[in-house]
Amino acid sequence: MSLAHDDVDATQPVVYIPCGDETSTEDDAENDTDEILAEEYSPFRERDLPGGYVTRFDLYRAAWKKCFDRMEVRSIFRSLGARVETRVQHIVSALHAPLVDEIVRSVHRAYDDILPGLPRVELPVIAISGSSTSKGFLADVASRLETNHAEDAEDDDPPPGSHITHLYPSDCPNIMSTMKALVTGFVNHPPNGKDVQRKPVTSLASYDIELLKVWYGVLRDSAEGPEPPPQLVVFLHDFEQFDESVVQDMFYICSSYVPQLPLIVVVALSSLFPSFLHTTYPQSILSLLRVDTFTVPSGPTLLERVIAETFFDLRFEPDVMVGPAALDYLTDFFCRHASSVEGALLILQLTHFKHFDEPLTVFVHDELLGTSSAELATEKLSDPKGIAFLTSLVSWSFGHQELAPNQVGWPVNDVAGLLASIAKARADFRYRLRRFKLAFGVLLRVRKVILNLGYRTAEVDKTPLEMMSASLRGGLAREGKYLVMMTKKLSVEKTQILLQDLQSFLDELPGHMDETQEVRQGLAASAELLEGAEGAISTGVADEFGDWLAGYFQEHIINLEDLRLWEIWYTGPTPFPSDMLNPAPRASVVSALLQPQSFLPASHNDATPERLPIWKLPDASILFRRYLEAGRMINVYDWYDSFSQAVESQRSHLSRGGGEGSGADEEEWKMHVQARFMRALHTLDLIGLIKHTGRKADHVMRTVFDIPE
Amino acid sequence: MPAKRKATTSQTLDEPDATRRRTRSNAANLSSPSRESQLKDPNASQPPSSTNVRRRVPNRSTRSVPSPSPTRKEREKLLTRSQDKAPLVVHSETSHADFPGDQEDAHSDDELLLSPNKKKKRQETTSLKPSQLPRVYVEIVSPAPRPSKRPPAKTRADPSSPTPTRPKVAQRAPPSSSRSPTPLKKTTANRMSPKLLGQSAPRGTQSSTTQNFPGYGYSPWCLYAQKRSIFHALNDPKTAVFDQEHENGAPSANAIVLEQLKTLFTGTLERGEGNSCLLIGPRGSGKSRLLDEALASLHSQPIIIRLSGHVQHNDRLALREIARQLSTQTGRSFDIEVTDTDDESQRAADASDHAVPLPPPTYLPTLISALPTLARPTVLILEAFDLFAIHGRQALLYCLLDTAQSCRAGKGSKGVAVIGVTTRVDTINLLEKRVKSRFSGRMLRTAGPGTLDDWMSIARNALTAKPSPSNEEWEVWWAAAVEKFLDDRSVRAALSDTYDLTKDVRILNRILMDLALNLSPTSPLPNASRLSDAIASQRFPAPFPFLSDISYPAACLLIASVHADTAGHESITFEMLHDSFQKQVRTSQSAPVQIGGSSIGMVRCSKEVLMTAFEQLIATKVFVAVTPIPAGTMKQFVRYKCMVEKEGIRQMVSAMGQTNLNQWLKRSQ
Amino acid sequence: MASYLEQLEYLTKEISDSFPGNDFLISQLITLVTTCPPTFTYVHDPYTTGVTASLVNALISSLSAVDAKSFVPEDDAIPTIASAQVNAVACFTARLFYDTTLNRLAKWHPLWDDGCENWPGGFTGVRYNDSLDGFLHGLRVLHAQLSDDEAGRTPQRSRLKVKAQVRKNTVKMVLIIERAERIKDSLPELLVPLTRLAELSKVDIHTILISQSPWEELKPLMGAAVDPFHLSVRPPSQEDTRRILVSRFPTDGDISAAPHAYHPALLQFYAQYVDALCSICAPFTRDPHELSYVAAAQWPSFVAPVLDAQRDANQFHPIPEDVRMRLLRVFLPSFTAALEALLPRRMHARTWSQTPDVTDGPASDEKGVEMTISSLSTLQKYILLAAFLASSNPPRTDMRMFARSRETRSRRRRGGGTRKAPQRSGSTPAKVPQRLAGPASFPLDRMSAILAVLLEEYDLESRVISKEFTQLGEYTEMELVRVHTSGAITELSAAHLLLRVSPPDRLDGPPMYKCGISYDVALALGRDLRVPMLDLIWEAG
Repeated sequence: MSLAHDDVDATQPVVYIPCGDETSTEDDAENDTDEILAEEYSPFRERDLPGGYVTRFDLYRAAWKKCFDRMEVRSIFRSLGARVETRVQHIVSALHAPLVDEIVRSVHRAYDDILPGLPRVELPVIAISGSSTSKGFLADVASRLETNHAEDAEDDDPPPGSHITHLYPSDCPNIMSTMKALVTGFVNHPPNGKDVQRKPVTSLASYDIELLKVWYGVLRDSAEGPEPPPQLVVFLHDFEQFDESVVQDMFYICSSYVPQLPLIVVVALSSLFPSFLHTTYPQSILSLLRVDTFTVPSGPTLLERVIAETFFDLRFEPDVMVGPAALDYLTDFFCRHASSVEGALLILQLTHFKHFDEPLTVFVHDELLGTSSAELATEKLSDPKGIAFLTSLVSWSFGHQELAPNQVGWPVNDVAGLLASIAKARADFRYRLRRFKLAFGVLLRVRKVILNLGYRTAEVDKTPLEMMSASLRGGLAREGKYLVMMTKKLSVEKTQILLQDLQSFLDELPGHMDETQEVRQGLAASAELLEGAEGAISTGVADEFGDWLAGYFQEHIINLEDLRLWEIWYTGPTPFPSDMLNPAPRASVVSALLQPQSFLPASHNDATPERLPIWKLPDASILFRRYLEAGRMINVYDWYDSFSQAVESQRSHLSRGGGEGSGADEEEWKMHVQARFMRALHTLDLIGLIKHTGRKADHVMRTVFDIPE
Repeated sequence: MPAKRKATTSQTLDEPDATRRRTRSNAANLSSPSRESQLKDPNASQPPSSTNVRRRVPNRSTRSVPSPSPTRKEREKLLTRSQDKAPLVVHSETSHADFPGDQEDAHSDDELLLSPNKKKKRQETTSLKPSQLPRVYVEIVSPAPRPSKRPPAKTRADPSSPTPTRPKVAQRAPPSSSRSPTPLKKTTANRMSPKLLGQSAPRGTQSSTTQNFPGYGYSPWCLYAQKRSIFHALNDPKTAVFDQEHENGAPSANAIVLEQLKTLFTGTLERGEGNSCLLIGPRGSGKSRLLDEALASLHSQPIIIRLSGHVQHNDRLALREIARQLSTQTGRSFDIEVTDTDDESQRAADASDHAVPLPPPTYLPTLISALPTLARPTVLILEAFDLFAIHGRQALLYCLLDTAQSCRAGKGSKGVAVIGVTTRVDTINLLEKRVKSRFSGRMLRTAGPGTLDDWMSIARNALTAKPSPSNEEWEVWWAAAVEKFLDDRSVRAALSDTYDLTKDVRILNRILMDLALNLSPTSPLPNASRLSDAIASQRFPAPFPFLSDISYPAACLLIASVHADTAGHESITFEMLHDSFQKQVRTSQSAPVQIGGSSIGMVRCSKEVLMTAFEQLIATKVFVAVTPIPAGTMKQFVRYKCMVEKEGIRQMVSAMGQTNLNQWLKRSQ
Repeated sequence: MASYLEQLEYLTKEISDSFPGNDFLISQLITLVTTCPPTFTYVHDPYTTGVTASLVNALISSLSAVDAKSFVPEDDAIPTIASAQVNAVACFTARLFYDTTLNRLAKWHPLWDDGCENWPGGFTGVRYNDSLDGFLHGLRVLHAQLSDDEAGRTPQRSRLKVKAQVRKNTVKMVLIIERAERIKDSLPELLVPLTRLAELSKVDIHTILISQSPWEELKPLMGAAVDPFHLSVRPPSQEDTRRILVSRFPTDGDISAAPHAYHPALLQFYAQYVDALCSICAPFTRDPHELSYVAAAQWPSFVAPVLDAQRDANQFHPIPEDVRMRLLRVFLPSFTAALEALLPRRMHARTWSQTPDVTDGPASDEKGVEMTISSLSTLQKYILLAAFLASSNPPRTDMRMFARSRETRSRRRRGGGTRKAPQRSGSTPAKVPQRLAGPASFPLDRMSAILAVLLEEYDLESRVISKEFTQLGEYTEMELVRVHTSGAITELSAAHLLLRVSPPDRLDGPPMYKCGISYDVALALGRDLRVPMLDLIWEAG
């Protein structure tokens, strides 16, 4: 983990990318997981539909894509320089938009509002802290600066155009290369179209800021009349990684050319550590700068927004509803480990991925089972190979009482009927889910209104995220009651406010939804009550409404697991496979070497005692046992001896009764043992348990010492 | 310092003593003697500078009238409190107060003025308070146009020049009156340090142009021209008196060297000899100058190739340079086929900043051996010869000396002379055997000025250099002034101090230049105190001249570092200093210092401000990192060492005159 | 006849108006440069280097602008001056230095259209920036060019109008190098030649080094360099500082304008304001730049009441004395706050002038801490705490501080009493407390051990522990070796909150780290996580 590594976001899946190419994108990540799973990994093989895996995988892709497009965090898999269009429904960038605007504006104004009477013209520096929490942010800013700014209508005069150069720590080991990167970054775009061949030695050096000055002179003159002279913006990415002395010199040089060169430095602090500049750089340098600090929004609110607008939004129906367990894990992970959007998305993706292990999820969309028509699906299902699947489907889809022997006949007596019942179940689930969401929305809204009315206690000591997971458990009864109780206490006009607010909430929703009708009626009822109500009975209105509300919550905020076949559309209480996202590689490797039996396929070993006799172990494990017994340095020859002994005993165990071989195949056997030794040795070497030492040719060094036996 | 002591013991005890004290005080920090005298007695409470201003202004303005000034009373108090022979000191001081006027103008009657002056000074030295002396000097320096005294001066200096109407103009001159407050206030605010006294100089000159009237009857042009000629004399080394013969008629070392050089060159030029010699002598003893003289004296002009060990760091560079100079002096091109740099790519050009296209070393013998075949004889001059000896395998030297040795006279080939110039006496030992064996072994030694008298005469020559355009009256007047200056015993003493430290003439030159530079039309006369100022600022300039008025946080940091030192920590971090500062603030505010019943606690000061001051001190090298700063060390934890010695800090604190700081510092002893 | 001198006087006045309080230096420099300067001058200015540099620059360039021929011919010694000011920081390579020097001496401005060519020096294709030799040749050629006629003169070099005059007058070159202390690091091989430039190039050129550090710091070994002629600049006196500040009052001089913050009528009031400000702030910094920075930042809010008083007036009414006094009295405390916020640039002047909330200044520090804490994830917080403890506690004390079982706990308490003993006794200097001496570096293993203790003791209940972890501490053990723990560590060290000491590519042995957070931040973190830090720090308090 070298610091120079450009993203330190540890949520990059160590798990999914075996051959260690960091630059793998979403797709090939899926692809290799594809074959991995296709070959070894298939949890419910016994009751799986033949070829079900592939079908489900496509379904998974579709589902995740839908969900992902919804969140549209476009920044993840794109490089920073890429142009990015701002779209309204972008959840994340919608969060960022105001800040981006502010930054862009302050860049434009950098040389306009200068306080008179200052001793010197300062070099404007814009420090953006926490830019690593979502990588798209800087790209946003850059693109906004590059594209000419129609949307900045509020400035009466057109904002100055700006040329941008990006500097990365890796380009700037010393001041010379830094200045070169800075200057050439601008100069490589010839100012007036025509580029001039500069003589390498008798012209200005390419790292000479004078060159930039000349270039800018031409640029400014070539710019036509009204618009203000263009600005030069320099982005410093991963600012903490830059060498201090280099940056100091760079600031010094740049500031001595301000304002002839309208340079503006945008400093991207990867961490949320705003005072980094001040703690690191001396005052003599800081006094040359004019630092404006901005902080990228992050933390739980961000996550909350993403979840609420994805899974708890009526306008959007994900194929799979995330269950409380996964949600809790997500929240915990987000607070405990990496509070980055990318991390959160990865978790959601994995949740989907795991969900589709379940064979039944093949029905998530329809009953076609990946075939083209219902008939085909029917016969595919009645295919004897899939009998296990069919039985499991039946047993899942009907509770025991329905399957009880005393019943006459089956609820469905042919496959088609079964499929139809599934379709019905799906529709039902969707319907209930929508109503659930609506009810939850209403609940939150009520809570919000009452909070706004100034009742702190309404914030039923739960964060919205907690409330979400609680509601999914159907565990919001207490909170619901409390809110209802408070609603009843409301005075007339406050009730009025509440009703109006809820009304507007409904109006925001797409009108066609019939679920809202019920609520509308409820509101309307209490509203007209309120119309004709005098002060005396007005409290009665609040009561009425409260009761109605209570009933409403009671009815709709339910535990989704009570629904039939919920496993198909709802991850429910299935725990998140945290080891996939946050593994302990070294520990697992070591334990694998120590107890291979618990890792090898079940067929391979019969009874699994705590500790196998050494001859039962595979070669690598044998070597490793000896390794643990050795000292800091291991003499390879001794190692080989001990290994061959173990192998001898193994041989004697395996070939009982077999007569001893002749000398010839003794020779062969020796070579055979040697070969096995070498292979095992290289295996350990590959895993990184061996360090070669130059001092002693025949010795290797241990890299692992403290092993919990 | 010890050298100086030795010197002064040989001198009379008064002025050298004074000058030494002054030089030391100047070395510590450019604190003017008057203040230093005050901080000699610690229990004199320091008045802040602002009051200082108010007190001194009347004193200076009414100085011409020797009346008991407010300062005087105040000082009497001050001194009596410090158990000193107050009346005597004060008396002498006031007498000096009006003394300098006469001294500046009148050189004829300065004898009778000097004598009592000297007497008093002796009494002071015996009266265990020599620190009062510097004050005397400051008063002498002090420039203020005092028209009242001018007419007699001029009549004495040169009867013919300016009519007595001019002084009246001067008297009425609005600038001199209107301007005087500012410079006076300023200078006093800076505690009348001699340097700042000079600040009124440009004003004086301004006045001279604004009303076309100089301070001293001569147009400032005269002084300007004089200065210019002095600088010329100092900068071009024609003023080498020590080349002339000694009193006893024996020619000086350098004269001999000159002769030898000439003969050597004539040998090379006319008889086509190959010669090589080393010119060895201490810095500033005129090696290069003699060489130039010898070359200038030649009838026919040889090809002269000048190399310097400071520039040509290796043989290939030297080679390239030789070729270049040859091709400029003889039409022939000796250009070496180096890679043509024009079609290089840009990054190659950047690379070429470090790697200059150089000729191959194999080119060396061909080029050098071609030297005798040239049309004219060649003279190679290698400055900093010893550095060439460092070059790899001394290839260049080998080739040169070999060519010089092997070129025989009268084979039609032209002569080659290789002259090495160096200050290292052991240079010959640096040469490898094969190189040494090809060297003629001829070594000419130049010598610097032999005696103090040489210095004096150098000074005389320089100071009395003829200005152009010449102005008779001025020159007479000026020459007289210079004579008087040089006859001043303290001047001689000060010079001999320096002379005993180093015989390098260039130091003398710098000192004289500084002296001349600070002359201003309002006080155009060189004198002893100015000289000692000049010496102080040129011979060993104070490393931290700013300590005298340092900011409060910086002072606190320095004091804290003293405490850390006494606690036995040889290196300090910022956090340590800050910690002890905070502790001090807390204690001082819990148990405030009592001054005249009013309690003053230490002023608190935020950590960042302290840090700013700390960085400032680092930048000015007051704090120096003990080790190269390891990577990933936070700046407040880097270990530093304080370069100011305790004494300096003590003086600084008492100069600041803040009691609580004083108290804090005291607690460290 | 003294017309040249008058010219000089005029210059002197002009420049000393724009740079108050430097009259002495100015007069010295003028005399030196115009007559016969020493070949190498060293200006030592510890405090206001920037100001001095720009002063010298202005001075020399205006001197070189003086046209020698405009004076009576009888005085032949009036020099023509060509000058170049070079910044040792900006010229970080030798080539850069050569190019800049020659271009500026020759007043040559490269043009984009002819490929930004440097000063060609008469012949084309010759390069003077390849080595010191080349540079010296360049100087000679340039000097020849300047002093005789306009052979190869280009329109840029317009200064040498009159060939006759130029021929008669001597040409002086002046090379000014500011931030000279940097030469020692960036261009060490140039230092000695620079001091001997005139002698090496046989040209009338004078080098002036301007630096913050004394010459002794730069002086090369073995007396290779000529000793300079020393000029040292004193920090400006209080009075000068005031003058400088007042002269910075940015007024447009339009007396008839409607009242605004920089109305000329306010100048006198501004002077009063400056006096008050200086009396408060001057003790804390001597740098007039900083003081005027504070003054500029504070002025708008200071003068605001006055302006409100006569907003609708179309021209300015004088401010009554008592109002001024009251204003000054009211604002006196705010000056200190302004200084403490502005001098370290915790705020820049504009923000300060817009939010004149006095209390805002000191608070911003805690705000920074808050920000930092809020931005960290829980695990990172714990890691930081562990790192801080590992950095500040001596390793031998870990057993006492963090041992798990009861009796060791009690021993630790007793240990608390005894640990003072070694500090008291012994003539050896008292050990510097770790939190002053700076964080000690520690192996990663030690930190993770401490981290385990912290997590186990203070974090356990707040976690969702999956079933398979049965025995005590197993979960935490597992936590420590997980990817995200090391990921978090990397992240922290990328943010310089955790400083990696050992090189990243070292394999054997655990990597060494150092804690990067301050004592206060650590305490704040402890409060945030409800970890009693003071009990865990060895030298608490």
